[in-house]
Amino acid sequence: MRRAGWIVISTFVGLIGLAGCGSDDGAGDFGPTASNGLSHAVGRWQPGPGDTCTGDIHDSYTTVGPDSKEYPTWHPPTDPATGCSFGHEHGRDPAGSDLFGKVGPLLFGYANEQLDIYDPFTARHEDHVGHKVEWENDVRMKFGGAASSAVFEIRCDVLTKMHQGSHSKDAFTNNLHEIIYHIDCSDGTAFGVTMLTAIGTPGEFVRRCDGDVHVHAGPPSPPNSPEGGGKRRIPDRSCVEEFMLVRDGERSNDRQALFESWQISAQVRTVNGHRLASFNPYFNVFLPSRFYDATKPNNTGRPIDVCYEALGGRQARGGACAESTGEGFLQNLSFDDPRSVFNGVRRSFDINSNRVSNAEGPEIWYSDPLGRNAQAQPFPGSIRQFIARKENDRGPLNPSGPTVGSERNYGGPGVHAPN
Amino acid sequence: MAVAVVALYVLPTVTPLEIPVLGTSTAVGQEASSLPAIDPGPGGVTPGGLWYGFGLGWGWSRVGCDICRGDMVGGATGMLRGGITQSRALDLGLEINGWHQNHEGVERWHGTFSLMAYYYPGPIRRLALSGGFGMTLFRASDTEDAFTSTSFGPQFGVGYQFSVGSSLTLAPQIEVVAAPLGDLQFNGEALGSGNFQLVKIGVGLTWH
Repeated sequence: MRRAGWIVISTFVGLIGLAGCGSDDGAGDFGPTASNGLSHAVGRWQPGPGDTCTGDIHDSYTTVGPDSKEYPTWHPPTDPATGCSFGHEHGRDPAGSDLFGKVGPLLFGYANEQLDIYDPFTARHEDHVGHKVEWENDVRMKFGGAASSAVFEIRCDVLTKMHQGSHSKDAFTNNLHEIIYHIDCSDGTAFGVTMLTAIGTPGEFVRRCDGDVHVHAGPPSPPNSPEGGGKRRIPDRSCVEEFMLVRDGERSNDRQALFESWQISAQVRTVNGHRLASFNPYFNVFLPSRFYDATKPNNTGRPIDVCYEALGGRQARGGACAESTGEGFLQNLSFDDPRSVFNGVRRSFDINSNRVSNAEGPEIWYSDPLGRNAQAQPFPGSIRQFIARKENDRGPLNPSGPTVGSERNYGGPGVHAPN
Repeated sequence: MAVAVVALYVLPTVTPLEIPVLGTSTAVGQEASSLPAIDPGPGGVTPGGLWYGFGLGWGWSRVGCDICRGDMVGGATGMLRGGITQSRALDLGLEINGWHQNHEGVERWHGTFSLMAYYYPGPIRRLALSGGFGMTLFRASDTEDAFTSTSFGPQFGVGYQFSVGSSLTLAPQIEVVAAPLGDLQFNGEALGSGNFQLVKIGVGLTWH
């Protein structure tokens, strides 16, 4: 019943989209409304201990993609119809974004699915809980200097979904992650991109508390993952020891110890290498539920376990440990206990720069799942991208988006790691 | 649109019945006395006579472009002008306007240099209408960066003159300067085109 309901919604939204077809204005192409099968992304979540929703209820939150497959999409942490809890969240409800009417429901795992077609030897399927939505309407871009900000103003609507798993070992080695990124600005800058973005070097990450240190964590998956711009700054054991385990009289610095930042440098390029669009957002997690620890199984340490450690007179004091354990009253909380605040529900998103170099058009391009080889006609495994017919290079003036979302907490009843 | 503070500075206190005859030499005067009386205009103006003045007031500056905020920003204004009287109803001159604001670390300047004509439609110089064309300069800067522009455009204004002496007038006025097409530069590098407007109200003094 619920699945039928979402298909009806998708159909309705699709009809709205079809009404806009025929114009090359970048309006959302919601594609077919009838499903002919499930994508790999459907069915990747099963309820854990304490999760009261069934897999069927969860998998009813799907939408149909341009390939006629069903994909998971955003849902609240609790099902409004039954009140049951999924135990995880996907960030901000995209329906509140001013771009939602053009973009439609977000397809979780679409780029991953197209990679199977484009390059069958390079499969990359990500878990379900790591898909995180964030958006902000009417964001004022920054120009750096006081004079610039006094004279100029650009406002943008931004809607994004990033797969940022902060509960497992995946990101220690794997640098390919799906991103959906839509932006529409008052100066005409606009694009909508879905792709797998390579973040930094495969097989390694950058230590959160020392950006000069690269930690080699193991072979990446897929093994031929390409090198990407940017970096994944992830906490490791040394950060935890230095900033969480402190002496008597000191207070743990959870931010210095654990703040995780995926700093992206993504582009859509044509066959001949011309950069049509580029963007470099940072996706940040305040309290992830894991850190890199080579001494642990799967190299995965848990911050909640550190709350109970004593290391030469140093231990966790105050902060997230105090909050999670009730000032030490609650003993032996597991990493997936809903009472642990190390659950990844607090995040922020630095919009940063957004460049478009597409003055001659067209507005609709088809790229491979990694944003390369963009051309005017679709090809097997290609993804439709919208890029406004615009050149927004302003020389020395480089507007940049601010940080959004840091005041939001996406936790809800029953939400816990893995999230 | 620096509507040059349009001559609002020269305005006689005399009534039409009391228009003095000025500007005639003794030698000419004997012949001139047989000629129709010449209306010298307010403040004793005569054709060919020089005039000059200054003014103070308040104005609103605006910068427009595809990424500009486009808001009207208030600041103090000043004006200098001078020229030659052409006739009872017409003065020609050069007018310089300046506008300034310093707020939250940003200093802005808006200046105009215009060739102006000032027209007095009434029998005596009370109401003044002005029009002209000139150059507009704009600058907004902080401790590190500067936005500058040079543009050209018309100026218009209207004012009303009161005589405060035999050759001195006081005039409130409103002026508008428009510079529809200008370049915009950031630290000397071209940024694109922009348009500039200045609206000012003030009071001026003029000596004839």
